[in-house]
Amino acid sequence: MGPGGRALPDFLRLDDVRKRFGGIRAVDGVTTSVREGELVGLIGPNGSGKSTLFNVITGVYAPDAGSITFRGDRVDTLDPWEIFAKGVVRSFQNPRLFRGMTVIENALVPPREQAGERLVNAPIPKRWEAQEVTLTEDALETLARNQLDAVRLNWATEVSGGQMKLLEVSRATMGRPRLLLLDEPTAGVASKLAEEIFQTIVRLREEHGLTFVVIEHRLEVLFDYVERVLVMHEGKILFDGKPEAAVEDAAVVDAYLGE
Amino acid sequence: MAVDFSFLLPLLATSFGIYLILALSFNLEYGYAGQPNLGKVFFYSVGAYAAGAITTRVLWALAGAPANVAFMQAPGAAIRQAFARSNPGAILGLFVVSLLAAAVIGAAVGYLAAYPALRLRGDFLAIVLIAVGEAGRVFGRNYEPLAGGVFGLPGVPNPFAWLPARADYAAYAILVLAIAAGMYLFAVRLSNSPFGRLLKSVRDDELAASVYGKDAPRAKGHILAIGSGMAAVAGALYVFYVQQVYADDFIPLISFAAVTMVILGGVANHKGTLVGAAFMTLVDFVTRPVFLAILGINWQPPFDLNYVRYLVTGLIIVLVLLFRPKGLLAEGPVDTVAMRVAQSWKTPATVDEPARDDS
Repeated sequence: MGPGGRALPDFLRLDDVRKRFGGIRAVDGVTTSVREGELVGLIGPNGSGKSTLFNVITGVYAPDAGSITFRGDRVDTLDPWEIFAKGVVRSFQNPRLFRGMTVIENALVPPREQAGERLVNAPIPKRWEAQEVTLTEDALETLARNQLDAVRLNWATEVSGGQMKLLEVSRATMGRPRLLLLDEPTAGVASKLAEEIFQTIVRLREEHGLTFVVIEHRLEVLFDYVERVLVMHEGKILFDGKPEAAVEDAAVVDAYLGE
Repeated sequence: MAVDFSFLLPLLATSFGIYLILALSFNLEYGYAGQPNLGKVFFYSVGAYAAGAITTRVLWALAGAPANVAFMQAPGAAIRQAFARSNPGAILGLFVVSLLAAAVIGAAVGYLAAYPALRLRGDFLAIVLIAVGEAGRVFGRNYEPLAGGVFGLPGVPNPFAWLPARADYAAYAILVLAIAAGMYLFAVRLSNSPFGRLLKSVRDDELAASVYGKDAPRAKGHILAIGSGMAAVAGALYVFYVQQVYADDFIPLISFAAVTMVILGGVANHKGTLVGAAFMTLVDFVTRPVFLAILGINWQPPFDLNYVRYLVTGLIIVLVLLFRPKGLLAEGPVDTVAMRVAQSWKTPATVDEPARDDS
């Protein structure tokens, strides 16, 4: 239910989604939905199926059973690039940067509808140069906001771990997402930087109305920013509600938070 | 004994131009898109067969050759050569048509080859394509109607056959170099465009490229079509150079020569490919007894000099991978529009500081 008790249409909806690897039920009947504009935390112990769930939503793995709809369209049978085209963009837990490219070029991979990516246009710069300049300026501003402008000309492999993480997140935002799935955006970065990453998330949400699902182990940071958390355990959603309630929930404490 | 450079240079230049096109095509496929097309020679032979089959048959029809002369054999070849000598327009036109046909057929076959490429990882794709190349050669050897089987198909005239002797080779060398230069510029443009960036993203991390919206199988199909079209043009140029189609010319060594040029020069660096192609042209040259004779070196090695080419090619690959894995010229940041904008960019004051909520 949305504000005022009105039913909002589901933005992302998962119905009994399952994915197993051999004998392991990585995702074991997940049913949940995310509303437009929400900022949802997805937490749970290692191996509880959080990243697999992201992989299933983004088409990296096809689910074994169940259905996934995004803005009313079935997406569970689509290829990753088709799901991206609908507006679902993700980042990876371990940055998967393009190693043979500079930082700025990494940020220029996701932008949509690049005329120069088409084979018929590529050898004729006149057909794409203007768009490329605009996109590059956009990307440079995004990099600057994420404190990456000083390393914009470096190889992506020649920046610090924290910078790789920032690049991973800024690159994802260059894909003009509607729904952004961030897999541990602050793992391995200094806590000050972690706060800044979350402030960027909040800003993107406010300025562009983006919807976020964020996997995060840094609960002390996460709980300051999200109003809803999903707790996964052994492939299932164990808890869905406010962060304050999660820390009180006996099952959540038992499975994940401990003590 | 003086070396006759007026004879030697055109031959070297022609070989270099053909090798360069072949190496550029492999660099685009492997260096930029990560697709090790070790069946390069197959696409080269497709262009050779296309050019040879079209040129000989059309010339045969134009010359109105008598039915009792054997099309595939020396008398038939003589009729074609004679016709080409007296009809410059016909042979030049046929050359252009053959080249275009080779490019189109090569690209189409390359696009089909992308089909297994979508299903196989790089190293398996490489093995499959080596096998495809060998199967193609064996087919060409045994299916006589295509190009004479083991005997080959002679009588593909030099497009400048109507020029005086030697001038024809010189003119052809210049033409081949001009086409190779055009291919070089095309390869540079393609790889410095957003399409080149797309290829690199697929090469570096196909999964990440896919979730960032790149249809990786389509990109692979496109680059294998382009690379194979280029290889087919090289094959067509080769046929007009040696003036015959001969199945056993299309041995795997041709593919590995292209690989060696790219690995030696530097993967994903077209300048490196240029250096690699020049070097391998020289290796090719000094390991042929006929060239030693041209140079006036009257030496009979106690082994077959031709086999040195195989040894040297293998040795270069091993040595480069051991001691200089990135090649002579490593991949560098390229002069793209994005890099130029990024270099001259000054961070505006408005985005200097990230927005803060805790102010």
